Amino acid sequence: MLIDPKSPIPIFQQIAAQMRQHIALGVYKPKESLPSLRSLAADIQVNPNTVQKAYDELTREGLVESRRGAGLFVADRASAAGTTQTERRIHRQLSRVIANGLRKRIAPERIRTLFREALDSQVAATTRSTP
Amino acid sequence: MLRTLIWKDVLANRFSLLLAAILLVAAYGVAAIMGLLDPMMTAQPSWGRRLAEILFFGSLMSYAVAHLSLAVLSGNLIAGERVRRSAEFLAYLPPSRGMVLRAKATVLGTVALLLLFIPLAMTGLGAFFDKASLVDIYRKTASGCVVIWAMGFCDSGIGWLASCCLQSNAVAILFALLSPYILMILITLVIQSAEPTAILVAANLSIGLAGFLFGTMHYLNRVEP
Amino acid sequence: MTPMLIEFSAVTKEFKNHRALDSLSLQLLEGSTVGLLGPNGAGKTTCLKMMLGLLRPTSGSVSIFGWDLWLEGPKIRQQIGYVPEDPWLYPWMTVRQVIRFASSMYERWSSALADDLLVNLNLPPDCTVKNLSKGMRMKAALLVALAHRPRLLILDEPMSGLDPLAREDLVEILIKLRGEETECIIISSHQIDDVTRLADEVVILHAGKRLVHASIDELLGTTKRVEAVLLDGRLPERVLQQTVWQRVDRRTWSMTLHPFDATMVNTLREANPISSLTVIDIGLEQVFKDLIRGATPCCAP
Repeated sequence: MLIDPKSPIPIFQQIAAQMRQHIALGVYKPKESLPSLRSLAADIQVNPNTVQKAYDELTREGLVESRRGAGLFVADRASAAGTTQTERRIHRQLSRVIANGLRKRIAPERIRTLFREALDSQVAATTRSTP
Repeated sequence: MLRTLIWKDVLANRFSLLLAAILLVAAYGVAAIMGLLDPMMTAQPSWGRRLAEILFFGSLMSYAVAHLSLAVLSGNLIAGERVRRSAEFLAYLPPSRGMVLRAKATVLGTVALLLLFIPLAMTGLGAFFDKASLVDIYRKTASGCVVIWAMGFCDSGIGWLASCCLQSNAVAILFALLSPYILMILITLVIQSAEPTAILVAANLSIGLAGFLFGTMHYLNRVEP
Repeated sequence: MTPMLIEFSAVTKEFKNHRALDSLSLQLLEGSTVGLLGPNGAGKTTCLKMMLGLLRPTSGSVSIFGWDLWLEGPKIRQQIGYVPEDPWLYPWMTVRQVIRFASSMYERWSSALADDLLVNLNLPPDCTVKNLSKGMRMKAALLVALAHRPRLLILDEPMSGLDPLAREDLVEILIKLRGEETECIIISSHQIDDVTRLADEVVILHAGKRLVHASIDELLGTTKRVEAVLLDGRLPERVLQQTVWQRVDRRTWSMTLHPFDATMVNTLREANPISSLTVIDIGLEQVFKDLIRGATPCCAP
């Protein structure tokens, strides 16, 4: 796992993204344990609190679950599949919107900006409503 | 904590301490050689007398070089840490500056006392061999000894002050070495007196004391360690 | 409520010819790893020396662990592990002698931990300090700082002068060896990448003042670069209050906004003669540079 501190993407999101990829690729199979907080932190040279944040996000997504005293484990097929299903659906919807825009001759960079703006305002709205 | 600081100061200043020991031994060594070669000494009637005279002259010379040792030691004690950059390290450790100085003062004080009492003890030993003539010589040279010892005190005080204030231990040692002589010159120029001894002793002692006081005050208050 | 570990209350520090700290107020809580950033001369070292009880504020007060700094210096230094920028220790001491020396200074010294660290840090016990490489001297200073289980660990430019491998080594060591009793770590560094890895929050100082104190993620989330293309021959008409730094170059109007809000995009577009606008995420190093440039008089918007 390689973390880029120069990247504008917060480190915990980079870790979470790469973890998701590892799980999708089968590096960590369902019901297998994830590396401990300390060992992963030392391995990739990142503050353990940041790794905790990444693990918290994955737990919230249902991708991993915590077992008392034993650490974190990859969730079993059912819930993992559920998440990927939602993701597949979103991917399909986004592809449709983008194809539409490209057909109407809107430049790819412009579409990217529009997407960013929409994402930012949705995230802002969610953060405002979440206590 | 204090003990370890003293241990550290002894090791850090081992060359100065070694110098003091060598000079002390050398003083007696030279006296011994003179005792064997000098015609005036060889004219002495008895062995005991010769030994007493050797011990006495050795002690006299050791007083003369004591102020050299004290100048080197006091000049090195504090400024030496700055030169070797360990002063910063010490500053971040728990001991207060007061404790740091106390350890150094202990080392200086112990050496000074040793340099005072060892020659006295040796003289006492000499008296054991031949009391009468020793008392005679002693009466003639006592005031000289007192002046030399006061110079040693002045040395240490100025060395201490210079060491507290300066970055360079070499310059501090230089100030320490020169101070009693400069003082002597100043006094003989300014004060025309038949009895310079008392004045010299008083002056050296007060300058030395002032050096210790101001040096300590400066060190405790300065920003850089 | 998380207890306050370090508190600076309107601290000003004046030296003979300049003011190092200017009414600085800061609160650091237990449990944080803080990156202290700032250009040279910003007051970082003055700040750290005050935390060690080595400097007295000209005005204001500093308290650590609830104790007043100047009055309880030695007591506070018992609980602080400090690694200075270029540690020299005692050049003539061997590593073993350094350990012996330091162990008698600290009440909370753990010999078992010291032996452990000696092995983990790969330090040659019988080598004199002056014969150690810079990286090794850093590790020796770190050993002294960690072996007494400090509540506060302060590192001043720990990476300076180290080659990239040694730096990576040190980052790994700092993560692995952080003790459980260490409640707070402060790292003052120019290596912003390493600070990004190690720290949860950053404090950015400039000219003795505190520009920012925020968690890194929050700072990155609320600071954005916006690049707008101006219409021919036109100049910006309404500069937002949140503009930290800006520059017009030909038709490109670049600005850094903090704290950023998605609605600002619309405000900018409505109030200015621009044809397009892009919002860009930036990393900590760029955020730092833009904040400093913006705060420096010649470049202020």
